[in-house]
Amino acid sequence: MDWGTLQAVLGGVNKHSTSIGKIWLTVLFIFRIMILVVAAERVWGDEQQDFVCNTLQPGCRNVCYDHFFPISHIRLWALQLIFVSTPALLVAMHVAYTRHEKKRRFRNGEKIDIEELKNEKIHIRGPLWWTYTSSIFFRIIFEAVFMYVFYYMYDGYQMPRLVKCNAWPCPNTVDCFVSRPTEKTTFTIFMLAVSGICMMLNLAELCYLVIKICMKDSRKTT
Amino acid sequence: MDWGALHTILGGVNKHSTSIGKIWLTVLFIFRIMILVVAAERVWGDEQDDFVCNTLQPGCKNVCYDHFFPISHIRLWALQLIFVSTPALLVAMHVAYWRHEKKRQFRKGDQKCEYKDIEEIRKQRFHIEGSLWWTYTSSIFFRLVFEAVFMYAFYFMYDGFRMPRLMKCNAWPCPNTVDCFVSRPTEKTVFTIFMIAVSSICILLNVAELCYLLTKFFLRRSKKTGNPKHHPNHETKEETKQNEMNELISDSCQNTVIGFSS
Repeated sequence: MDWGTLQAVLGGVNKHSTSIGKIWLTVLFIFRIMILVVAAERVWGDEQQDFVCNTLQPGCRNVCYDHFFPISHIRLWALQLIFVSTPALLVAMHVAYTRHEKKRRFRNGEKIDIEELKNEKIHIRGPLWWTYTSSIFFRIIFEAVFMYVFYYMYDGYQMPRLVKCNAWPCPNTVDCFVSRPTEKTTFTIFMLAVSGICMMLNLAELCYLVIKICMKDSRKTT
Repeated sequence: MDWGALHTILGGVNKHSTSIGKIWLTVLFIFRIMILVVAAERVWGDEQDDFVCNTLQPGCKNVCYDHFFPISHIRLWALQLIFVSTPALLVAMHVAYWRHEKKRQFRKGDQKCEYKDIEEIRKQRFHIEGSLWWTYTSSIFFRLVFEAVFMYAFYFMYDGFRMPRLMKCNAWPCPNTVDCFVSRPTEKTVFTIFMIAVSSICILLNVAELCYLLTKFFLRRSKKTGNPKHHPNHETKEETKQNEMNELISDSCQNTVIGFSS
């Protein structure tokens, strides 16, 4: 059960998305999940091993590392990606429910072709529009929350080279040096940028859906 | 044999679950197993290497680590997830037994058997009625018991759900009392609380499913006393054909929803 399985799960959802939704899914998988797995995890791989403090005091390094990195960037990104992907499952559940209802009406004697029902692409209208729109809304919220959490937890997006630590049992103030700070800053900014692009795509999709429904309403009234 | 294999096995069970059961399965795979594999295992990866004690005494670190972490969180979660997933196999076995019986009837050339061929029997989706209802309900009950037992085991073994930064150890051969420092305590606390929260959500889903099944059972009973000629498991040829169609539709639905292969 890993990122590949998530891809299989979300691939099914892709069928019922708008074009912008499909682009968003591609960006998510290629520029975020794939970068996380093939590159970022190696960069952060030795984060605690190579976190070096200028002291012989046992335990000082552990405590300082824990103080400055309460949750590692990698874990935060993994959580962000899982939370951001999951609202799409709401849409999938709604589509399954709509199909179930059509099947029930078929059983009650209405004339619907079974093959058509199976292959039918469900249009984003009515209650499905609301589910789809709420899923995009939740995606945007989760993206924003995680971006803020990153900013708050690490005082910005730059990884410092040196951190000064005075947590017990460190004697007085101890200099601790972070492993690969420049590479980490580069990847943090990259992931932030792609996160921003995904948010823009989600906003664009939201506007598209809202405009579509307003136009449909105005056509109905005329 | 890994989490992927469990995913394949349980995907087949998904077909015979209620909607709440399907949601539970999704939460289990995405928010528990996936988080365990992609995140938690890395956090706990260096737990013994970076468990540091303020002493030069050989063996002291090993003994203290063993004293404070009799079973690692990761292993407890893996055991919990396996135990909690397994009752669903009872349902799968029961369904397989029914299918076997129907195949046997078909092969004997039984006049009562309504199926045209073996393929139909294989694809049929069984409703949660009769003895299958009891099997399904007991599987949910066991899931609840296992979840509760493991949550209690966590609480009891680690005195709560928080990971301390410092542990004072005086097990032999450590001289007097020795300070030992845990690796990544904050990150571990965060993940422990996350897993506990998702565990509780799963317990609530199971309780909801249990209530739903009990309600369905009592409603059906009250309908039966109103209409004594109703036979829940008896299928006419028309119902069989509808089952076949339902199967085609629900297969495509499930591939859309969860992508499990049966």
